[in-house]
Amino acid sequence: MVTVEGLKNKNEATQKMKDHLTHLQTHRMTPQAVHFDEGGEFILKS
Amino acid sequence: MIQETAPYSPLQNRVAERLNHTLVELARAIINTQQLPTFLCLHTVQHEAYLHNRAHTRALDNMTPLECWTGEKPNVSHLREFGAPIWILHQDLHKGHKYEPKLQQKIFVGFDNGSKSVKYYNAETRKILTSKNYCFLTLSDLSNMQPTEGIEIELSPDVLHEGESEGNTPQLDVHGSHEHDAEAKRKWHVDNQYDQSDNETRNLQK
Repeated sequence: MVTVEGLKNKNEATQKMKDHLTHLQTHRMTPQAVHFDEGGEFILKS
Repeated sequence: MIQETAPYSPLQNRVAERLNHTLVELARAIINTQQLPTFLCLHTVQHEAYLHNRAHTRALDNMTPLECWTGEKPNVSHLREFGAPIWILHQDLHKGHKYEPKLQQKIFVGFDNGSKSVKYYNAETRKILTSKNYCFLTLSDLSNMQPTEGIEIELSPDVLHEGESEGNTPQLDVHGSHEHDAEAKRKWHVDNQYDQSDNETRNLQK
């Protein structure tokens, strides 16, 4: 199952991911695995 | 369980990278074939993902990903070509004149997941909008339409030109001929004379 979401900035990635997981849970679907490509966009820059 | 990969090594994330490659290549082909603006690339990739979820794959024993995910076979009867002309009901009907057309032709750019509506591209405003009031009307639909019964147009033998028979399709006489013109004028005068005489007799009867 493929879902494509558009991002204007990379800092929206965390919120989009949370929203998508919440959307799946409300439809009683749970992902078995989550793949990230290094996941640099999920790391907060402080 | 968390499985990490080495930095700058997309080969270790081959499943996701292969799918990205497939979707992007398809999107590029669609944009160039339909001659659409390149900023529609996101919607093109989303549409490709929509189709990918509804196409069977060997990895799932010829099931579709959506069927594997939800347990139900997806309906594909509504699928249309990306970039196809779509007719959208005018959103602000009260603003225009009463007799202006209600439908406007736009470009179809995908389905909106979950809301039973379509996304379309308005080339005038360069915006992507969503509407539920739409219809697809193609040339094949028009050719499949049955003609209305009782309306038949036949040319009388008097109108046929030389070289035409009743079975042949009448063609336009591009070059024309003076003989035909003279004969047509004579017929027109004769008909007018009959019409005038008819009118005179009617006036006399009154």
